[in-house]
Amino acid sequence: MLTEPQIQRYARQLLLRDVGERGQEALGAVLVEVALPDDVAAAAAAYLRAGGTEVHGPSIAGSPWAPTPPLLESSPPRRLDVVAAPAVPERSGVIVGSDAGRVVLWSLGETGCRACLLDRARGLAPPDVRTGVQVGSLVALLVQRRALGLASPIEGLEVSPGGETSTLAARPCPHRPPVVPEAVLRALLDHLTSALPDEGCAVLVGREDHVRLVPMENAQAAHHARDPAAFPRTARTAFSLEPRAWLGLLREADRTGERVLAVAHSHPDGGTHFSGEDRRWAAPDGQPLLPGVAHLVVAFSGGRPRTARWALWSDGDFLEIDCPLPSGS
Amino acid sequence: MWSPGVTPDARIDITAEVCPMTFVRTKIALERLPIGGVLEVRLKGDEPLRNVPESARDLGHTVLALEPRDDGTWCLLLRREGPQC
Repeated sequence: MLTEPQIQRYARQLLLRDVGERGQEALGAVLVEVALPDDVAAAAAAYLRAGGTEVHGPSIAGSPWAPTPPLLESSPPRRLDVVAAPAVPERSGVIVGSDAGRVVLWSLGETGCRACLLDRARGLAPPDVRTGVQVGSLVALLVQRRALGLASPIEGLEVSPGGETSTLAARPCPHRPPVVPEAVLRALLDHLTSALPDEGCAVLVGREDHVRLVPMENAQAAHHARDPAAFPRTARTAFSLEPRAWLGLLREADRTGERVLAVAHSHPDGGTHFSGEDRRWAAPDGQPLLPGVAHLVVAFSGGRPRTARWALWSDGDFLEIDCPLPSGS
Repeated sequence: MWSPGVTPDARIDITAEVCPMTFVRTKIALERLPIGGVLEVRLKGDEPLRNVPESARDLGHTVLALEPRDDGTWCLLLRREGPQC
């Protein structure tokens, strides 16, 4: 609960729908570390301190605002870092940079994807300090939105050379694998097990809230039998989605508004990694054949699934991430 | 409009306050109640009489009653509504 002096001090803010007593406590539970050029840092610190948030940093000594006493003395403050490009906050915080005369600000929350932030902030130069007060106020806005729980996992603002502020659109995160319900994962493992000793394959399709498994036939055996010169590998060491089934699946997904989320296949020999062969298939010319589609490799040994790894296209290469298997599988 | 059957969960007296503290007190008192809780606000004068019920309504809370008292003050009964209020 706020004390009487705090209620008096922050009365105008307490009136705001998004603040109130709990919001004011949240603003006071944040410690902001600012590493920005002097003018921007001083302006940001002034706005933040006026709002009840404590600010530390080497370059804010000139701020006319006295440090605020912490609102919540007992709980450890949540820390947000505000940095100048090309630096990037370690965990959550704000990055300020410039690009062709524009000032660009990105804010990252605890649940935001840091790889996405790195993608978005790539190539940003250190901020131009001529617009110190305006940019400082936007830094404070992004920090306060974060403290109040109003911010998206990643959100951005830009200031045009003419001084106009606009929001920057978020993009779907390509660095996180789809969330697959355990029952679907078990059905996938059963299907891949039934294909042994060959590689098995399947496709996961769905929407955000619903994922389903489409078991696929491995057409590699037929390809190899028909044209062993063009398809030297057998189905023991390679997979190929059966073309008509694959086309039918794409058409159906198009009709139902679903999306292909992932292509899964097995390595019966225990290989846990997205292999060179897998990479050549998934990105034949260094570009992903199926943009936005994840790959899942399930490694078998002794006839049982042992490990699974996602391969996600990120910044010119596949990034591998463990996929926990259901217990008892 | 009077709801004699309703027992308030909390009471505040803002007869000595001026704007904006009249509604600041009311808003904080509402936020400290569980959803569905009833707050009795004792108020006095034209400004709070006009603004306090209206501001509470703007935030989504319900005005249950507003009644004059013999001593020249008013008694306002508010019900705290959803978490977004």
